[in-house]
Amino acid sequence: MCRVLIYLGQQETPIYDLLYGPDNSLAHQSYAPQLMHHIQNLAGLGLCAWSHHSVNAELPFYYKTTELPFFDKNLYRLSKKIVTNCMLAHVRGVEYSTNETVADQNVHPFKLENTQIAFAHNGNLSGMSEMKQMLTSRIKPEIYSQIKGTTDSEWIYSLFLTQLQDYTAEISLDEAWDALLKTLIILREIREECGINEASPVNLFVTNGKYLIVTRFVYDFGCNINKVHKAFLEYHSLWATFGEHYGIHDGVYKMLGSDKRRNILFASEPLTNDRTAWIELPEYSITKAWIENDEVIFRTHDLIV
Amino acid sequence: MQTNMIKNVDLLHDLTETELTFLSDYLTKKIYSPGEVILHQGTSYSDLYIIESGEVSVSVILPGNTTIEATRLTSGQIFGEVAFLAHTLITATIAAVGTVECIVFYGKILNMLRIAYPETAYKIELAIAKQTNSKLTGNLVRIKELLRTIPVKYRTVSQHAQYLPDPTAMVEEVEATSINRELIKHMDFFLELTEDETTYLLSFMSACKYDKGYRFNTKNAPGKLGLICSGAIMLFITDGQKLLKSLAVSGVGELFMQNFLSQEFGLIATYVTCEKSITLELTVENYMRLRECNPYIFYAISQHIHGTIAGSLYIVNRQFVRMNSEYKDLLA
Repeated sequence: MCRVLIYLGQQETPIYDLLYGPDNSLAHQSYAPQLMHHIQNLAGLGLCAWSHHSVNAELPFYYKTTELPFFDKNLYRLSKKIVTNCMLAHVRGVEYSTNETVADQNVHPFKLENTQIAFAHNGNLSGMSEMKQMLTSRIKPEIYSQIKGTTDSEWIYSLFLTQLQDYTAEISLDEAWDALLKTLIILREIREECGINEASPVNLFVTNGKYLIVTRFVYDFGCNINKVHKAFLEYHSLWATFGEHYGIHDGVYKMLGSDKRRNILFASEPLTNDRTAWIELPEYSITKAWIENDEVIFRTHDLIV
Repeated sequence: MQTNMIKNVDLLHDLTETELTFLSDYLTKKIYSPGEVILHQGTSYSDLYIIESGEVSVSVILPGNTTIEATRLTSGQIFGEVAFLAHTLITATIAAVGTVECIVFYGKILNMLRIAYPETAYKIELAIAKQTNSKLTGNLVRIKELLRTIPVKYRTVSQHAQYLPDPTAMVEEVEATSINRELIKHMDFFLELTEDETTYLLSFMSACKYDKGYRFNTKNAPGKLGLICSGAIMLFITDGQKLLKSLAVSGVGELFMQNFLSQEFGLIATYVTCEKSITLELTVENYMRLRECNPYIFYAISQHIHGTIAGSLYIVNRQFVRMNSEYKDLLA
């Protein structure tokens, strides 16, 4: 199981304050998660971080490594110097299995060079090998040819880009939203055609640096009756917090101020041991957040596909 | 502590004089000064507080570190009950308004009673569960009001309410013994029981297989509990026959209750299967029969049932905070 965070705000925040600073930061979650029963086998960290003040602001600082974040001294040092107004970061967790490939191309987030949209996934699609043949015909050839890794997530990303009118152009929030829903519907259809009914979590994270979309969803939730060890699979957690200013207050990282909601942060787990100022997103849901009149707005919708 | 100090406490009404005398040795009286914080939101406690005199303020910290006062509690009312039974984090900060005197019932005492005097523990837990159940119903009404407050142009249609229920979805009774026994063994509900006790309990239960989209008829329906063995069940807030909004999802190993402690719940909420599901079910009638036939099993599962009722309040409260936060910019 992976760990993900996505931030969108008016405030340019040092990425250190998200990755390393808080007592349950993403780096901390990678080896001592609080909401998972066991520690994951780490397979890398990646991030896309946008900043209004950087050169070529529409391009994110894009970093991927199979190194573990707590050993990555370079990232640690850089994180104190790089600020972001939108960041998608992902720690990849894989099964203890020789079937897994630990490699750069499998590290999230995924972002093709010729699109602005970055994408990450927390979960896994059961029966992916059976699904691949059908998926191939549903993905645009020029996108299919850019699949480099072995993850199901990259296939979902490719299918998502295919649903966009022109994935290389500026994509509106509405178009990205519709494309993500179409992607989930196609995956459902293919699962049905392949006779796959094992629970498959798909917490998805999409952003172009200006808006974000997150899902908290599991196909066929609870349908693992013949595999007792998997039967109690819970919904992958997803939390959010928002406020006027993000930083250290009274020795604890938190969002402060609610007069103007300038920043929003979603994460697999609250970034602080104190979960007071965090809310959990509902199961079977899709949420979008964007900036309007200097404020972050977010809306959560039921997700049925 | 004097027995007469606790015998007027609503929560302990069903206890006999002997039980009260015994319990009084284990309860502690505490006095809090004006403004003193008794419980901090987000921390874990496992003790129950009964207000003997004075008033406490219940406030909730929202994202943005804003604090709002949710309510005030006075003499005879309780707090900390959700964590006491369900071991969840404290969902609100409780502070003394003036000088407050509380009777503190430590969680470890309840654990001791469960082993030594299960009947006494059961009576206390049941009284708390009933109070919690009324709070739960009250909070469902508040959520319903909140949904009405959202301006129509911003009101998003509940996709689950609109598309999930399927009038053609069927239910079929299956043999309880057909459920994977290994799965049952791993469920918290059966965890305290031996193999033989589990078999005995299963003889009181039925099993049902539901299609996705099956809507339970909770209004005026006889009370029962369901234990999910496969699939998932979604809790909806209702307005008459209309489903308004989904609030929570229960998955494998979790309980869902229909009119178990009162009929009030069925008037404002119902369930719909959100996946093909298989459940083990126990009617209130059989549950009470079990009390006569095998009190040990009865008390063991009662702990779990009461904990689930308390936990439901935690889930509904968190959803209320989330919805309130999401629409803050509109409701303000």
